[in-house]
Amino acid sequence: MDRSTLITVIIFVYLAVTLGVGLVAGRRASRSVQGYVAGDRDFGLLVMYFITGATVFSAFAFLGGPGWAYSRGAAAFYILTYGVLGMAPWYAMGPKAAALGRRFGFVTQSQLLVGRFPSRGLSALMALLTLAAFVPYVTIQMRGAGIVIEAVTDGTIPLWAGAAVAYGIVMLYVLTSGVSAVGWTNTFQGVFMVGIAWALGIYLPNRLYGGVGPMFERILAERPELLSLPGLDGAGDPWSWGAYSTAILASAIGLTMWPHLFMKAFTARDDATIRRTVILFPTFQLFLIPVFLIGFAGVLLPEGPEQADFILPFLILRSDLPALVVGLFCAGALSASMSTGDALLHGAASVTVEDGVQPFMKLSDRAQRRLMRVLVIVVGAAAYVFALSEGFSLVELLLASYGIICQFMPGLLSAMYWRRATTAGVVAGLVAGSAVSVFFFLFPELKPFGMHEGILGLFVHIPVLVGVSLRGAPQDDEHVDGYLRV
Amino acid sequence: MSLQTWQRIAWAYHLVFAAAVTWPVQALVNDPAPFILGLPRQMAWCAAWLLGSLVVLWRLDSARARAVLGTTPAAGER
Repeated sequence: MDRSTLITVIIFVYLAVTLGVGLVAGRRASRSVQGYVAGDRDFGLLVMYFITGATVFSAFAFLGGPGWAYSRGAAAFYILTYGVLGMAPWYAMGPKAAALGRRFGFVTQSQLLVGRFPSRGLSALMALLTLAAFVPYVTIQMRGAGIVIEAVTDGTIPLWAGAAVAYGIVMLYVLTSGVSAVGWTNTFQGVFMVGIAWALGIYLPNRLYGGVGPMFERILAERPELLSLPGLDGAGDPWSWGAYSTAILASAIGLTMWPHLFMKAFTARDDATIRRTVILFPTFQLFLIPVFLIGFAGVLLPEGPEQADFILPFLILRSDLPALVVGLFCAGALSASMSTGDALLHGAASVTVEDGVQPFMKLSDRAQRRLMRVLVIVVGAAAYVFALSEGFSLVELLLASYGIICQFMPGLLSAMYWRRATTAGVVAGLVAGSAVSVFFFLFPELKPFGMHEGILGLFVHIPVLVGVSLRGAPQDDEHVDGYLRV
Repeated sequence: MSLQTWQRIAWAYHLVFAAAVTWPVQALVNDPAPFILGLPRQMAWCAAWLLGSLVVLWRLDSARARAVLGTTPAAGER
């Protein structure tokens, strides 16, 4: 069997196992909306640990992480820190959100917000913003999967076919089994991607430089600018401390608030499971260390890939590794892509139905499930079309959406912790904060100190929310107590 | 220590963590040498704060478990 065929076989074996795990997982869940969206609120620690970690770390981290270390040096360290800062508040917030979910039957983030602040417009706005953030995110995952498969099979499987096969399988198990498939496939994929990352992160520096320490000693001697914070920007110029620091804060807030992660609070079996998932999250986050080592390993090579994000496949294909290892690497990259993409597809369909349609048109449980399945296909197809479009600036769209996702934070914290907040205040804050965030995204030269647009949006959002809320009549005490005294 | 004390420690730890990895504190820890376990010092610094988070939250959870079982020591008692 030649090298290319062997790699292709490994990829298909991996995809077949993933599909099998996904299909079997759905047999345990009930046929209700709660079963499809929240896994009957029965995920234990193992699945919650991997669903959280594998969903957070996408193809963007697996390919983009080494790309950042390779091209921007120490700037990549911001990715190492924000995950735990974003996850730690979940130790307190997660059990509270889960308790509210159990009390009121919530299965989405927006239902919690709109439950406290009743407004169909707010529900539709949250659904719209979530969908706008998810589509480019899914697209990047699909494109990442297609590119990796095309690269390691020497073009035997082109991008369009690789993305179609990988995401055809994702859609099949999400359609069939809902979040149960997402949970169990993420467990399988999480083990795979972490194992591959550590193996390659230790192997490549050793093979190319004789060890991790010797590699950094040479980088310090030949490219010292890469080992000095805040690192470099995309153009290779020094990055600013304002941009570096606010990237950490905005990303941490965004991580806490991403709807597909927030919704997982409603899937946990009990509060202890959520808390232990948060406690153990740093062990998953450490997987970024070998990911960065891979990127740094490429810094001193005489030639490099055209795009920094391809440094990982570039090194793999030039290291004369056995075909088996290349195939396993490919499976690891696909794991990173698919474990995030499935959660996003499932989240996009669930949010659109529960928050964008259900408040305006009451559907039966069965009709909701059917519509969610249709939307999994629609969102997947839309993302696939974008994935094949050259020159579409998805990364920029994703960065803009991160700024908007940050704007979910004040409203959701108010819903759970601030008695005096009102619907008008939350809507006004969300609109003002999102507008400011989009404005500074469109005019980055106007950003003070290069700060992240999401943080700048919050500077306006929070005072508007507080000011408008305090000027209006307070909500009924009994209604508010239902949310604050959980 | 009581559950309440551990809750305060956990909040304080993560606020200090946020300050430690952003400007201006991180700028004070910006020399890659000496390497720690082969890693640049700033990278090891970030990793150490991650592991600290695990320890603090684990201790908080242990305190919570003791409180649930009704065996929480009084505030200030070790």
